[in-house]
Parts: sequence; C-alpha cells; structure tokens
Amino acid sequence: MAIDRRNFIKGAVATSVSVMLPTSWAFAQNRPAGMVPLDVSAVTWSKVDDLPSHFKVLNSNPLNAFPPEHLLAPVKTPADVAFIRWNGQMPDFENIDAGTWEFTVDGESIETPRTYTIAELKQKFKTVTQQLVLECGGNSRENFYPNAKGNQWSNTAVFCAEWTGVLVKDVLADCGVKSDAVYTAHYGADKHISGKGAAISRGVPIEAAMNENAMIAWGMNGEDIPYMHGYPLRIVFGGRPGSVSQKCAVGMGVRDRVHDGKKMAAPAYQVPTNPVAPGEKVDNKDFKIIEEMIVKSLITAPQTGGELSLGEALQVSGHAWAGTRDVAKVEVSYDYGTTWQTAALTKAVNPMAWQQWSIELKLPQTGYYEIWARATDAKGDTQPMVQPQWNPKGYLFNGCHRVAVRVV
Amino acid sequence: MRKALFSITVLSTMLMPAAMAADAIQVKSYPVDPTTGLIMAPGWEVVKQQCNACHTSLIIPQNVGSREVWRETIQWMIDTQGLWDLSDTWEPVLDYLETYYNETGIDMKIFRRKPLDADKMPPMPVKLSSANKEH
Repeated sequence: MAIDRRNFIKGAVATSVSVMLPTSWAFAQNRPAGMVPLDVSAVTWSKVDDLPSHFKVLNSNPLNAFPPEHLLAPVKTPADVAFIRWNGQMPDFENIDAGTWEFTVDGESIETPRTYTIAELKQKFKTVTQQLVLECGGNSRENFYPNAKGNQWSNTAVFCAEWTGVLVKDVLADCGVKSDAVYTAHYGADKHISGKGAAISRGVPIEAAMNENAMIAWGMNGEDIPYMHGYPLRIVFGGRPGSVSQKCAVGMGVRDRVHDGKKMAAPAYQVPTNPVAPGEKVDNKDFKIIEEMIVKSLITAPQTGGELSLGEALQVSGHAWAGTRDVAKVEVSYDYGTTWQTAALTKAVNPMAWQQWSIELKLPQTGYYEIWARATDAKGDTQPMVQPQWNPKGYLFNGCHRVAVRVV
Repeated sequence: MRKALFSITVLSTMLMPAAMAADAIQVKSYPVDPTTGLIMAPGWEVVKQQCNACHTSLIIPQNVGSREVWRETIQWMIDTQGLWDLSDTWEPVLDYLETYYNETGIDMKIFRRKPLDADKMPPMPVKLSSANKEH
C-alpha cells in the first residue's frame, strides 16, 4: 500500500475534531463551511495497530483504549475518538454478513420468542435516531486511592454518539412481555478471552428497557456501527453502565429473575450496599448492581497545560451528563472551590444525551491556575471535589475534572 | 481487639509511602520491555510467559497491589477464568509482582487531600465469608 495508513488516519482524525481539512483532501475547497468530515476509516478498525496515536492503549488483548480529554469536544463524538472497551475476543468482523445477521428475543418472560434480521427490524418497527451517552462503569478508575483493580481509565471512557435503530420496547412488545418480567439479558457474539463462553452478558431492570432511550441500533453517527463499537448491531442503553450496551448483539432475553449472565455477579459492575472505608474488603453478599450512572462533567477546552496572557479571556467549555437525569447546573472555579461561577448550559437534545456548558473566565493575575468544573443534576446531586465513595472495583468515580493553565 | 489492631497495621502498611523509597531506586535500574510493558527485573520472564497466555501483561503495571492482593487476583483467574495453577512458580511470580508492582505513595497529581491517618480511622473489618469466589 503506497499510502502510509497511520499518517493518513492521523490526518483524518485531526479533521474530524478541528474542522481543518488536510491539503491533500480532494475537492476540500468545495465542502460547505462548517461541515465536519467523517473519518470513515474508523468504521473498519479491527485491531490495535489500526488505532491512531492519540489513543492511549491500556490493553491490546482484550482491546481497551481511550483518547485525551480535549478530543471529546464535539457534541456528537466521532467514532475515531470514542473510547474502546472489549471484555474478550472481538468477532471476526470481515466475515460478518449484516444481511443475514439475526437478533433473537426469548427468555422465560417472553410470550412468543422471535428472530429478526436487521432488514426486518428496519421494516417492522419505527426507526429512531438520538444521542445517548455511553460511559464505562469504571470511567476515571485511575483516580481512586487505594488502587482499584481493572483498566485504569482516565476520564474519557465516555462518549455521546448519535444512534439509529429501533426501540427495545417496541421489539419486546412484538414478542409479548409477561407480567412476571424482572430483568433483560443481553447476548453478543464476542467470546471470553479464553475463547470459551461469552465475554459478557448483562442486563437491566425491565423498567429500564421500556422507555424511549433503550435501542437496538445499526447506525452510529449516520454510518454503520464501526467494528470497534459493535458492528453490525448494538444494544444501546443511555444512562446505564456501558457494559449493558452489548456489542455485536445477537439477542435479548427477558428474565423472570435478575439476569445471571457473565459479569452480573458481585463484585463485577457492583458497588457496596453500605458505605465502606478506602481499602476496606467487602463480602460479595454486600454488593448491589449499578443500575444507573451518576452526575459528572468533563472539561474539553482549554486543553490542560496551556498558557494565556494576562487580560485575555479564557474560554472554558465541556459536557455534563447525569445518568438518566438532566443536568441542572454546571459551576466552574479557578480558586480551588473558594468561589464558583455558573456556566451557560444547553438543554439535552433528547433525554440521556450529554449537555454542553461554557463560560468565559477572567483570571485576575499572572500565575498558575486550576480550572475545576462541577455539575449538579435535577435532583440536587452534585460532583464531589474529593474522592467520591471508594469501592473495591473502582466504579462511579465522579470527582470533579480539572485542567491547569498559566497566565503570563 | 486483636482483630482491630491487626487491621490497623494492614492499613498503615498500605498507606505508608516511605517504605517504598528504596524499592523505587531499585526499580529504576531495570529497563521496561516495550512489548509486554513489564519491568525486566528477575522473575519477569515467568510472569510474561504465564500472564500473556491469556491477556496482555499491559494490565499489570496499571494494577499495583500488595502480595496478598496479587495472590487473590491470580487465585480468581484460576478459580473462574481458566488459568492453570502456578504450582512452583507461585512464589517467584508473587515475589516479582510484590516488589515491582506494589502500592506506592499517594499520587498528588490526582489527590489534593490525603485520606485520614490510620489512627484516625475505625478498624477495618477483616472477616469475609467463603462466598467471595467471583471477582
């Protein structure tokens, strides 16, 4: 191949986050102003070697990688910067035929089990397009002390893409949900890292499936779902731990009990029932399943580590989200929380999409500053400034994010 | 009372960065293998061979812990994830992991406040049921 693939991808990535076009882009001058080109190469990334260098790779088997915070600035996260989290082996994507892919609905609490092709899902049910936040339950785990085992995610195991598909509730209704339904069960084609059995099979309380924000999706940002994100079909639940949004989905069960699939048992994706001290050991019987994510925010501008001149305004912006709730307020401090200023905050385009906030700061004198952001949700829950409730597996870290700047 | 005293000792050991200073100097004298991410100190090859059979060893430097923490993690892999028993390599593997991937002091790039001193905290519960198989 004559083209240096890695450099090509790097160039393409730069375009998708900054709107600047590489000079080699054919007919770039004809593109409408303000249009963000899509890096379609991200659609078929299938191994760690395909990833551009802006990803930090935590593992190559299973593949886990995340971008720096400032690359998450776009409202709709491009596939080429969305974090990647696999629990086991990726399927052989090259040999997947979306035309014959099937999705089966079954389980004890389904009246009539049915199997659908993707074409049948498209034809039979109302197509929905909406933005939903997917956040790993262990996002920001690296911030816990003592260390909590697992992938040491920084703050970007989260993204908000635009998903296209059908509603879970419409498909379940077509099969008939019995009155004794308790939990969903999600099934995918990826295998455990040993090659034996499922890598993961999680679910949600049945109520969480019967709303407008639980989807069976074939599209991400107007394209086929990229391999890395679960081609050709993905179950997508906004506001829940990312692990319930099963990639390469082959089916959904409706259970008459709490689902007992892989990684449903304590302590996976569970937190202690009662508060514990940092470092405390917890009996497996004293854990509860994380069913919703919690209020959090991310500063995507400025990029940490920069400088500005005295008197120059500092534009600070980012996203905020709160599981299944709305974010009511975002505040920003440059003096370690002594004083707070309220940022402008958009409404979500739909429930469980993230919201955008921004504020212009005047930093009063030369020197070093940390910019802190904290979000408060519609029920009054806010982000802590210190380490939130420690837990053995390091889930739900939502202490405020901060960036550093120097005024010169 | 003995239990309470024991647990305080465990905690204060965990939170003590001073003991790590000598180790830190020692760690610096070994290169890091770019492929596996492992510090190439005595014992690293046996760790490389066994851990990389199932997953990349890049997860190891991300997950510091005491000897007991490493022992529990490996035992969990044996009990639930299909790992073989390490047999006579248990001790060399634990020696290596304990020495080079132990919990160090608090990273103040992350923390602005330290946890309470051990003597200002209530005792840690130590008794666990035998049901803690699944991690």
